[in-house]
Amino acid sequence: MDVNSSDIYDSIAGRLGVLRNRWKSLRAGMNIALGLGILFAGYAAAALLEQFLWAPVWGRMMMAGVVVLFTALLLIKGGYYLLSIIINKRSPDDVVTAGWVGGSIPKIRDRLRNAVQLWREKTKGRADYSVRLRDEALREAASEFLDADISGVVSRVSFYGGVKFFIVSAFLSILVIFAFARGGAYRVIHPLTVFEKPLPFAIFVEPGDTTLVEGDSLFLTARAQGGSPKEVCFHLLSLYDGDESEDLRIALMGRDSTYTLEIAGVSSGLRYKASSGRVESPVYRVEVKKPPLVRKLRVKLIPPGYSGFPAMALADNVGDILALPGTKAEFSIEARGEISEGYINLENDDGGEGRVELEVDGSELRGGMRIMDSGRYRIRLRDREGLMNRYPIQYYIDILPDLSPMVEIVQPGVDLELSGIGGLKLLIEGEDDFGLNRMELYYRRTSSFLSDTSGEFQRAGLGFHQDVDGVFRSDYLWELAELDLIPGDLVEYYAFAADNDDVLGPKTARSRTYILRLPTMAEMYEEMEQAETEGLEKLEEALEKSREIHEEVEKAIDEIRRKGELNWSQKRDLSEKIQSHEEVLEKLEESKAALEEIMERAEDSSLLSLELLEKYNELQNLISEIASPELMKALQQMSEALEGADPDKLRQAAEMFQISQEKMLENIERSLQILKQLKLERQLEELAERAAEMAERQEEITEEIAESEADEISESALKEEILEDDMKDWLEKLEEAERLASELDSISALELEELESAADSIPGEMEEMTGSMLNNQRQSAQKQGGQISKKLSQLSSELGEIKQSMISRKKEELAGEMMSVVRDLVTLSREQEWLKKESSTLSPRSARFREGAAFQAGIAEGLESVTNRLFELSQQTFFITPAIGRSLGNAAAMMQNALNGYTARNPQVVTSQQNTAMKSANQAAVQILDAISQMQSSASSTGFSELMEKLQQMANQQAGLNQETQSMMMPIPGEGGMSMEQMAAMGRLAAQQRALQRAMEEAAQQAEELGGVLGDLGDIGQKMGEAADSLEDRNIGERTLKLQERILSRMLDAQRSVRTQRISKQRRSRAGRDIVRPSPSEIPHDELEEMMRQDILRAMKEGYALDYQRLIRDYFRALYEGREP
Amino acid sequence: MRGCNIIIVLLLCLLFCGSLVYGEGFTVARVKYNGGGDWYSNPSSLGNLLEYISQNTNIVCQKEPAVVEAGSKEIYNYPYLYLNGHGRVFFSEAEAQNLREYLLAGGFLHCDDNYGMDKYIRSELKKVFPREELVEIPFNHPIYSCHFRFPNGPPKIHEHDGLPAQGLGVIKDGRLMVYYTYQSDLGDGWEDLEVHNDPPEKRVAALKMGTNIVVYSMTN
Repeated sequence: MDVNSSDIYDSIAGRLGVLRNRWKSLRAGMNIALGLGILFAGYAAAALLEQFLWAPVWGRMMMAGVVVLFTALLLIKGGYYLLSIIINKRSPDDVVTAGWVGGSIPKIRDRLRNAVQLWREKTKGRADYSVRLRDEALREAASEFLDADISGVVSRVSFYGGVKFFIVSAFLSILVIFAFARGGAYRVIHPLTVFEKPLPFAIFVEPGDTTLVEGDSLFLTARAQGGSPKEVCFHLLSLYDGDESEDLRIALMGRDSTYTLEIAGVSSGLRYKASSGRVESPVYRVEVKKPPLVRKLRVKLIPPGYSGFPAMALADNVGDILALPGTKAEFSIEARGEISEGYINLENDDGGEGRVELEVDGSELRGGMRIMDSGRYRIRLRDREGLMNRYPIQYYIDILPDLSPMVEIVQPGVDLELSGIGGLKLLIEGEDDFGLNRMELYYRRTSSFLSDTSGEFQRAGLGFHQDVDGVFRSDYLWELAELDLIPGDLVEYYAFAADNDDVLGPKTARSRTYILRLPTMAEMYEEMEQAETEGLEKLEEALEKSREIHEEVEKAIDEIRRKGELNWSQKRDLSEKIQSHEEVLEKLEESKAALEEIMERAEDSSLLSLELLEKYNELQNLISEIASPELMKALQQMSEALEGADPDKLRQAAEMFQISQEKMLENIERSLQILKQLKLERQLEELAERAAEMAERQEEITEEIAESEADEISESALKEEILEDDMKDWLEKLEEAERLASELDSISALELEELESAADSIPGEMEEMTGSMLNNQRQSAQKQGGQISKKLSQLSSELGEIKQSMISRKKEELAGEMMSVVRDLVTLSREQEWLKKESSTLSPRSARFREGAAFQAGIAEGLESVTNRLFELSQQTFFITPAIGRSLGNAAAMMQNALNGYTARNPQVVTSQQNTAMKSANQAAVQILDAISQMQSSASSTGFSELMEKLQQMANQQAGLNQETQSMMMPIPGEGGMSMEQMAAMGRLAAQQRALQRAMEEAAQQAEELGGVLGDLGDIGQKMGEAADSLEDRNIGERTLKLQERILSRMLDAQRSVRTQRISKQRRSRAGRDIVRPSPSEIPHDELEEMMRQDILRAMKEGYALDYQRLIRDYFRALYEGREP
Repeated sequence: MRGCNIIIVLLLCLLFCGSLVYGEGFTVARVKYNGGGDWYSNPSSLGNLLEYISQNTNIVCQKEPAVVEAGSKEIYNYPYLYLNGHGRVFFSEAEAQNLREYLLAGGFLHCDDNYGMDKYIRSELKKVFPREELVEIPFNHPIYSCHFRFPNGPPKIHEHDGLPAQGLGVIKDGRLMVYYTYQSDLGDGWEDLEVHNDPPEKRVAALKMGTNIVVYSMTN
């Protein structure tokens, strides 16, 4: 070895070392670059992974660890290579390095490596090779190597690759870092930090925190960003953290991917959030403000004064108002919260609006308004925060209408024909919901014969009062004389009322308009005459029909007698005739109705005297009695017999019916005659009245002539013409009366004829007077007028005299006839008495029975003749009563029995019957004498008014007796007996009672004879007897007092005024007025007490004179004060 | 006798029910009587009353009343008999007997004075019930309140004598069998409006009282 080889080798080794170091550097660089690249790449990859995978901590740790590990490894490797360079470590060795050279420099190839290898062998002591060879190889290698360009021996590709890798990695990681700086990139470098995986989407909620007013609705809207869940749940939470309660509401996805929830009427604050799965919104707060409201409302209503209604407070919180116009409404309101402003919004029904301000005091408000129209109102409040009350209640105002009043004229309530120019009583009734202020009568004279004088209505104020039933009534006596009416005038009138409404003004009403007419006297009499004519016609028709029936029944009786029975057809005909008896009864009723009408008109007009009225009334009663119970019974039996099959029964029934029928015929005839008589009397009265009335009118006209102006005299002339027409009509009536008088009373007829002659000239004189007036010849006219009125007065007076003398004459005639009848009856009675005496001595075998029978038959015939005469007389007067007829009938029947007794040769029967017959005849005679006496002493020919007067006097006496008796009530035993004076007084009372009893019995009989028109007076007489007994026994107690009270009651009860009960039966179809009265008492157990009470009440109700009522009341009061309660 | 009465009452009820089922409703009967009085007066009254009852109660009524004679057994077909007029009423013994038996067996008679019938009907009712008196019915009696209320007794429809309206009756064993309206004139009030031109309230009051009487007659 030489030194050179070592140098060479050193040179080679040095260059190889350079190559080696270069390689190591590149390798270190590459490793470092790779390491860093891996670091960056790993970081980027980890960041990417982390971004999407959201690795947990351990995952990130693992990724980081891996990256760091590989990076560290590579960096360590790179550091090794650097260290190896630093420590000049020959690694790889020269051989390897020489291999690189040989590999990269083709011309060197393996020589260097071989050379190096040889060297190393040598050095290692291996001497397999020559040194020379080694050295030569070495030199050769060195020569090529040391001069060779070795820059390409070590490839830089890896290094560059590493660097590229590093650059790319770094770039990528930078990108990733930038892209996911907050995401995976961040999380990777914080491997120990726990990161929540981000939510899939976010929920955003509106309105978030908000403030509402109480009652508002809360509208929540959630929007999902990043997702579209099917539903979102709203969590409603209490405002208070401590309150964990939660209300969940689900909202489904709506349009625009929103989720909405409405919470209506939020009344308090709350918190809320929205969630969907893991996704939740933040929690938001809702604050609720409370607006003002009405806590309590009080309304007070003060009605207008005219209504009379008191003020009224409505119930709390009641605001609906029902009130009269003009009512003041006062409001008192308690509100929630402090109020700054309050008012009432008004809306009227007609669209008007208004506002009423309220006074505010903290949370209280006050105000008022006057209510005039219907409508609505609301109370509005504003608090200090400016909030208004929400949804104020709408209250209603309804106006209570003040209705118009009603007014009606209740009495007379019909159009009326006046009976005179006196006072007309008006009863006017008005009604109003709140009261009337005035009632007035409006009237005007509308027409007269003179001219059409329709003018303005006059007015008269009416006083009125309000009754307990709320009705306003005015009793007004209207003095018609002030209207200056003349016959034929009409007056229109109506009532007017105004209520007391002083708010909207009084409402008024008026009644129907009624008409008063002052008929002429002629008209009034004409109406009566028509009724009279109808009455006569009906009676005549009834008579005719009765006669037909009578004939038919007569035929049937004959037929039955002849053939023993009736065939079917005959029975049918008879049955139909019997049925037609109803017609007779109807005619009788109609005639009664006609008489009723006469009496009504007479009553209204006071045209007829009381006497004549009584006669009509009596005639009415007579007609009532025609269809007697016996007749009805006979009719019934007849009908039944016709239905049966027994001819004997039929015959008997027919005969009975005939008897009753005959009586009925007699009575109808009698009624006819009486009615004719009454007609004549009425005509005479009418003529007298009319003449007097015409005389008055003539005087008035005569007076007017002196006082009237020139243009007014023609009016008087017209009145005179009318008077003239009336006079002519009067003369016609006079002729009619004459004709009737000629049938009934010839003397009167003559007198009337004379009167007619005197009156005939009057119409002519009136005509002259009219002419004088028209020619303005006042004096002449006045003179004529004076003469005419004098004549008319004379006529009136003469007619009155004619009538009176006719009545007196009639009475005289009747009395004379009746006396004659009495004389004949007395004669017959004496004969009967004689015959009785004679017959009493007869023996049953005596031959004088036949003679006696003949005498008896003669007496009976005489009696029949007397009866017939009396019947004829009965047609002219009511004084011949049925009782007389019964007595005579009884006498006749007894005489017939006596005759039968003669036939039977039974003297006892004969004498006893004759005795009874005689007594009956005597009784009839006495009755006739009584009748004569009454007729002569009576002003009327009926006796009715006398009876009435007698009863009145007796009632007076009884009342006085009752009082005295009561004052002498039996003293309590032990307290001293009766004094002598008391005993004497009681004796006197007993005598008085006894006398009254007798008088009552007479009156009872008289009333019976007058048809029982006053009820059962006999019962009163009996009771009087009992009372008299008690008084005579000096034994009076409560029973006696009661008895006497009852007596008085019955007397007053029976003593009904003919006018009020019978004549005044005014059938008017006019609405009745309800009379509020106490209820009748319960059906009593104490019959007597109740009957007494009823009688007293009835007596009082009948409208007796005030003194009677007072007597009754005093007596009753005294009676009850003395009783135990 | 009592058994007979029960049977008769049952028959009455049966007939009444039968009339309701087969006779197209309830009706009343007007009594035709003798004596000459106008038993037929107020011709439109009962028809109007029946109509009013139909409208204001649950009783189905026929349109027209029947007419029965007082002596006929047909009266048993009707629980309510109506008798009115202005004049004479006369019952024979047989008719009085017939009415008496009918009333004792549960029938009901309403007498209504149209003005003028009073004196006759009082005496004729005495024939039907000689021992019973007509007494005034107190205002608290069921007839015044059984359907409509009449606290002041029968209404006064028409003016007669200026007296208050009265309801009188015959009561036997506590039952009102005969009801007599006096000074009232209900029948006039039931007539067609144009007959009397009464104020509407009068007419209605009359119809209401008539309804009460009919209802009372059917339920007592």
